[in-house]
Amino acid sequence: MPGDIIFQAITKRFPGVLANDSISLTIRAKTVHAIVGENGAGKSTLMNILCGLLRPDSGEILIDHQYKSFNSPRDAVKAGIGMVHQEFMLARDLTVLDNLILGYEPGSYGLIKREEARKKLQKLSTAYGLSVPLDCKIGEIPVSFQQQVEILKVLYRGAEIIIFDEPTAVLTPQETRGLFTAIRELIEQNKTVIFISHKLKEVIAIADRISILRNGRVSGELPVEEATEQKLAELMVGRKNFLQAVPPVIKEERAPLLEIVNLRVTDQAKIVRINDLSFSIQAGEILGVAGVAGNGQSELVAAIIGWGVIDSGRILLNRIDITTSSVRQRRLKGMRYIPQDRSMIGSCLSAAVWENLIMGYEFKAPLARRGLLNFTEINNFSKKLIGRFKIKVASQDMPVQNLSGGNLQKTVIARELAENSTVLLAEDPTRGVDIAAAEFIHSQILQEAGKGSAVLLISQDLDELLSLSNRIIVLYDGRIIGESIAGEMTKEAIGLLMGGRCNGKDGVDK
Amino acid sequence: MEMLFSYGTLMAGITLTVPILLAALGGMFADQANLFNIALESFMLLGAFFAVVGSFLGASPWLGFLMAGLAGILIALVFGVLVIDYRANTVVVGIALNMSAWGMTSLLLELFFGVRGFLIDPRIVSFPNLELPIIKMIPVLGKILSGHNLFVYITIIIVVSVYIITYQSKFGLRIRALGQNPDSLETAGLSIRRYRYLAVVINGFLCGIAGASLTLSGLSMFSENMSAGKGFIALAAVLLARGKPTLIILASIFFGYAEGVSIKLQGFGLPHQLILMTPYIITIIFLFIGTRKKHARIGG
Amino acid sequence: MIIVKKVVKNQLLLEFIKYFIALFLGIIIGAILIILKGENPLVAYYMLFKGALGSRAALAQTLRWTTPAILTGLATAIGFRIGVFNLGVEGQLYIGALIAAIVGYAVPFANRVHAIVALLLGSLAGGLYALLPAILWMRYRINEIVNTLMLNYVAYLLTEYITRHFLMENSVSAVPKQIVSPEIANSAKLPLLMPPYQANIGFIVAIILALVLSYLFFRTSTGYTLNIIGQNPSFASYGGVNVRRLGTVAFIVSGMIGGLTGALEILGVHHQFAANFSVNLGFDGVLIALLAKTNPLGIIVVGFFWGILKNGALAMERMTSANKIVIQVVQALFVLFLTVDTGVVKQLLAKRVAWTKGVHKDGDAI
Repeated sequence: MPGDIIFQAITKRFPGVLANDSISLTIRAKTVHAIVGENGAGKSTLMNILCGLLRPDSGEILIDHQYKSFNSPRDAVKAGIGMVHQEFMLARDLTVLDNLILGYEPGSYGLIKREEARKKLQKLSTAYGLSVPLDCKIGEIPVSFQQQVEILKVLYRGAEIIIFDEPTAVLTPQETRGLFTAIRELIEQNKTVIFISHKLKEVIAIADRISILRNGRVSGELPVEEATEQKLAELMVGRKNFLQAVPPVIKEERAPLLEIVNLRVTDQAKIVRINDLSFSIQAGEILGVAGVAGNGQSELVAAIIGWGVIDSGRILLNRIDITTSSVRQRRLKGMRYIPQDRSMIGSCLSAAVWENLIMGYEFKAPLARRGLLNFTEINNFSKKLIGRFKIKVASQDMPVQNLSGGNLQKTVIARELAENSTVLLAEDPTRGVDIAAAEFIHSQILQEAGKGSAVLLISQDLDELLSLSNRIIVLYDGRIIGESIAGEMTKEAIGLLMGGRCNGKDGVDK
Repeated sequence: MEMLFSYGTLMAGITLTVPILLAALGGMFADQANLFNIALESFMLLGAFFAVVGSFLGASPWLGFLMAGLAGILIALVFGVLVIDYRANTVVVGIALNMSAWGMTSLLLELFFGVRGFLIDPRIVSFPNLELPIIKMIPVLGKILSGHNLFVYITIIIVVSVYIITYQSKFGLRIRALGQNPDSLETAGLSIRRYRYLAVVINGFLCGIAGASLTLSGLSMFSENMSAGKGFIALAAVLLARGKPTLIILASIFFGYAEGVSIKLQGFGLPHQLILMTPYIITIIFLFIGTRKKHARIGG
Repeated sequence: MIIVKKVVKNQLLLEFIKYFIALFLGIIIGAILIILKGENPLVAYYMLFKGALGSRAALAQTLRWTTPAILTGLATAIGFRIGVFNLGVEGQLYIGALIAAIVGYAVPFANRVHAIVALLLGSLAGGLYALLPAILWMRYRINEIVNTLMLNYVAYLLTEYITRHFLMENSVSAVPKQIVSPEIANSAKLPLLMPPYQANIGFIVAIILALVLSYLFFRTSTGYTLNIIGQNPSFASYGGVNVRRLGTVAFIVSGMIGGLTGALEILGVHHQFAANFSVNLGFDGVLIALLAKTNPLGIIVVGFFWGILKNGALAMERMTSANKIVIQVVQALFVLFLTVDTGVVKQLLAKRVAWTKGVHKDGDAI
């Protein structure tokens, strides 16, 4: 068909990694073609090649049966390709209009004719049913509108082929539905859509055809009619039943190790982030926290580890009030934290492995005496942890920025679990790590609970929550909107609650 | 008190505003390209020196003007190469450039003119003062608007151009986008490197002619380390205004005026040092207030 | 992993070559400037070294200049360690100098305690002067580079104002050079190392301070923590370090060393405060700390080198027609060339980092 995009044996190599291994793929014009795969499967590399940000080592791209080679994103734009990036490429203090025309401003002698652009944009937005306030600053409009700006930007540049990179990651289910309506509108208007995702349900809801990538290769391709979540997951992961962790059953009532009582947090703009939140976790229990990012999770974590300012409420650790204690005091009482951002918060990338491992232990025996470091003890300490947590490093003097994602996360976990913890906070502990490392991390978390620690697991990954937690609470707008014990709540029910629906049906079905 | 608003103080204030304003407008472009440039001082000093050289050689202030601009661009390119391509630390490069520019101009002064410390020579031609016909006749206002050095009027033209470039031109839009989110520029297929270099070149040109305004708007002389901290006052204006030309103008006028007042005070043996401090203290205070406000906004 | 190790090993050699080339280029350009003046650069450089090390008097004068070089280097280095650019050492130095001068002449003491009190108060004043930018940075995240720079000018003007209007015995002159405080009492003057030359006990103070800081940086928990704060404050704070408190303390200590430098200059060398007496000692500190990569022992070495150049330049100017400013240009160019090369290496490494970062951010990027 005219307008088809054909990838012919695309290969792209990065130092030590084969990101795209001879990928051949045909994307039919005027369809929604989904490309799914785990983190690291090669999706983004392939799309970055298509939109001119990267050049392949070998292989060709054909559009409309013509060979194309892109030296810059501008070439790709000329060929009618546009990408809606996962992180929006917008300038906060510029108006929506200025953001839309950036780089493709109409006008002559270097001056901009804004009125000309405005007319064109108004026409486009009516045609596609997108409504964005052209004169507002980007920083003033909500995220879902910003995404519309991105879509409109791509259309303004005359794109025929539109790539969406994980577009629903920042959206609520309702907003996701809106996005899907917009995508269907694009198809109506004869555009071609490439939809990158790892959320299988959404892919099935929107795509016409689905290609699955694994380890830089195409591991399968099928029309949506033949696709089931189970089947896609198998192709993505390569083996069945990849997550076999089973939540432990808590039989008797034990002492609560972490208690949150009537917690209330408002931010500097006086917006309530956490509203009268109470829960407790007992020894050996894993409490899962579900919710779309931004519904109070980070404020909750900050309050518990001692980073945030709270308005009212109390936090008890092993029945001792720690509401006003410092981070260090809390850590000394056995609080441990695996942060979401492992490279900026959980570790010091430019520092050596041992320097990362001793943080929080560096001031007390046996690693230090009267303020002096004992390097023999430090050496033993970090060697022991590297062995116990199977961290693959050439030397403990190496900066951790050279470690892979999984090994970096293991370093974080090794440090946090070096001594027995009372309370463990884990935030997206397996995001972006390979499956073997993820399984290892899960087993460590379960082990820690087994030793009698109270675990608070906050995750965007519902499968992870369901397979590890004894109990799950759903956060919405800083409140607990739903709660259930292991096995009682389905993924779908949680998904609905995450979108703020207490009852009724919602979702992304076709 | 009345001295503060006397005609003489006002005229002095306008003259003293010119170098600060030009340098600050230049610094604004670097700031928008996310380059923290504390080397404005060195750009100015080099400009001041080569303005004298040009005027001396060509017996024309215009050649001085041109050479000052070129010298500014040249040293700015050194800054650009180190900071943009070699990713050297801007502060370190800035300090080293300030030190070398000071040394270099002093040495070149000795080499070219055989003098140390300062140079006064009748062959250095300044820009003339300009009496504006008709406008001159307007009561009160005419006396304020007319009769300045030509450099003042050149500055006005430059201010207007910078304003148009910032808000009405493609370049202005792109450089503002670069400052806020470089990715927005890159995904539009534009080269970040190219726009950073352009910003640095404009920065160099404007600071160079800011230096020329020190030597060629009446004084017709050069002295060692002549910029004497004006580059840092300009930097203060840049940081106060954060990419808004209007605020740059206001801050520069205020700083220039404060300097004018302090010179008057000095003449009377009054503590002019306290007035000279105001730009620095005001910058610290305003940065404090500005940051508090911003925090409140981001929180929302 | 093997590649990484090789990179690290080669880096030491690279580093050495880099310093050598940068210095060499600086010296060559200096030589060209000297030739242009019609002088033989070999003679000029010979005079420089002879004037810096060739006699007891020369060595004493070199040590006199080494002292502030080491101290301002240390003051800046403490800031660099925690990722703070204290460009205000110059201002802190002025404040320390003024206070030491006031204590030195106005407070009656009969014995050596006088000098010690003056030194302590001078360095305390420097520390206090660093308090404002320290709090603004640590508590409110307001760029410390800007504030310290601005406060330098406030310090110049403030000390000039105080000296002119409150300290000067005969306040007629308005020329900055002649704005001076009365001379300090003999009891406040520091003992000389090699009388009658200017080198004084301040040099010993500088060396001891460098050794203490070296021990602190590399052997203690606090040193470890400071180092981590410098690289990633969020990580340190996550690990339980009170970053704000420790950072503020380090900033103030940096200011105290700045103040101490000023006090030593007055009590040891000048014996009275003069407006604008120190030209750029504080900024030299930035370059020195950078050349020594914040290592206190390295700062002793670089500081001594700085002393040689500073003193030797004066000798060179006396003995030949070359201008002493040539050496200032050589120093600045040395650092400038060094940033070039660091840039190249950094770029190479940055590519690696960018690549690894890509992995963390999104596995697909690899």
